[in-house]
Amino acid sequence: MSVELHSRERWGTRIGLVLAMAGNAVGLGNFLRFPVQAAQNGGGTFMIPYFISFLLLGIPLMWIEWGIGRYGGTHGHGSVPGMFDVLTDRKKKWAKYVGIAGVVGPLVVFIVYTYTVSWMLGFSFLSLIGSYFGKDNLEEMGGFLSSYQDITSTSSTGGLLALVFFLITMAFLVWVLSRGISRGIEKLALIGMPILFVFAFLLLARVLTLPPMEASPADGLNFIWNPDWAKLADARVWLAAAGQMFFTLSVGMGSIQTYASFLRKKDDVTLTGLSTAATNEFAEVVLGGTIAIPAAVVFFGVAGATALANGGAYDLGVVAMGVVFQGLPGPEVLGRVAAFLWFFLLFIAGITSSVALASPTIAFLQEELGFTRKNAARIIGMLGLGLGMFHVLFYHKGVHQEWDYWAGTFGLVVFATIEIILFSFVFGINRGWDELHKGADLQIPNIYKFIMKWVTPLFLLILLTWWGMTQAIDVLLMKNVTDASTIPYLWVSRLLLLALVGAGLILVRKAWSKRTRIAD
Amino acid sequence: MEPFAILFMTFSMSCVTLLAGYCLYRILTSPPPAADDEADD
Repeated sequence: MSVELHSRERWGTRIGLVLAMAGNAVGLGNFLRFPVQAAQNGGGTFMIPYFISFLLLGIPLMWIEWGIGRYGGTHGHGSVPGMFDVLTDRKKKWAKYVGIAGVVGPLVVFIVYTYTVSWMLGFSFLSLIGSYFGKDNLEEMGGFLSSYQDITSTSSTGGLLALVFFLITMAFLVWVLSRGISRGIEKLALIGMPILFVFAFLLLARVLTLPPMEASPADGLNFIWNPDWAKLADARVWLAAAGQMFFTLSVGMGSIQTYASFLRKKDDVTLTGLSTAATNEFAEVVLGGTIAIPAAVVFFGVAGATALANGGAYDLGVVAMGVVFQGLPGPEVLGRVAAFLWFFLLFIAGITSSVALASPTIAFLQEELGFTRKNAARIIGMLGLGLGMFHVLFYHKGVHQEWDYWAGTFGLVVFATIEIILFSFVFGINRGWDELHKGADLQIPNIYKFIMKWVTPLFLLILLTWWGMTQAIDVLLMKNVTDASTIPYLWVSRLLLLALVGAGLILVRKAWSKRTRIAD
Repeated sequence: MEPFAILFMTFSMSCVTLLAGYCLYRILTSPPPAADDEADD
């Protein structure tokens, strides 16, 4: 193995880059989490803190991550440890160790997320063959989903079938990742993203032309968008909006930086970064808000849809939508096709995000530890399967949600806070501003210099302080766990997370000692 | 639909559609980066 600087891969086309970055951002959160969050947090009024979070949190972090990524890439680093090292001019020894959060975090989310994404592939198949058609109420459909998720289930559509689709999904991911940036990830985005948008528009048209049942499609839109002004004064609504912004734009993760590292020194980041954020928002606000919830309102009424939204994304996206497609007017085959469009749309949204989540680990293994891309892809496949089996086997013990919380929710805010402080105060906002504008096709408004230095970090610190004051003790001590029998499993899942972080730190140390020896 | 619901929906959807459309237009009409950039790396 060697640690010499590799001749770095590049994106083939600019539109390919935009679609790959949009594929990273557009995920299950756009179609499942956003409508649920909007419905639970004041409908139209949710959009006020949501857009403010977009302007003050999402866009600045997006630009900063693109800038850090391109800067790191020009210094031969495609993952955050190396990027943080060069951001501090290699003078702060701790920076590269802190940066491991930008590798371990997305790896953990990759494992959690890919298992969920494989369900969507499974349900695409089960929709086409009509396996669950006949289970046309929420109880039976809920039972069908539980059986699918339960590895011990002896049903022909449960247990091992979920494992088979997990293996297929992981094998496909390894194949895409091993083909590299332009031949693998970019090609997947160039094919997958247009299909996603076409499927979403077809479903949107079908939902909006549904005949009134329990309610009309317009009642469904009213349910999402009608403002509840009292919610505007509720801090939780603002925090929910900020949280959704992290989820939806995939900021605070490490994957944007890796994708941006494959840019050239003078490739634009300001316009391209804004484009991917805007594409994601279009997919979320226009498409995501107009499919699942309005369809649920038409079939189950406002009260039923409220209960489903409170039940979470999978109650809405899998259970309710599974019932909805069985009840569509017309022959059953049309319902099966619509169901396939929905679940395959979610699969594409998920798989394009999964490849992005795996990319920081691939780049780290390749560039810092000297593995070939193919071997790095195989390693991530083995890690995904090995650790993914932990989730397959113990999903019902809550281990999935535990990892998702620490790496996919809490971790994002912590990582983004460290990152923006490094960029604005250690690297320096003036230097950072100049870096962002190298080759820029869009001049960022000067007000953003102030926002990046003061407003966004303050916003993030408020989020963390609020978490510390209201949730930290309960979450750390598992006081909110309702089933005590799951606690040992949750502790094991936390220990596994710590072990991953520990292994990451050791690998950083190993990579940099080798680098130092070669330099000497 | 309630008037405010229509207002919020129209405003939100218009904002993101216009922003996405503007960015796409700018990208499609921007000249490609200089060919000698790679040499700078």
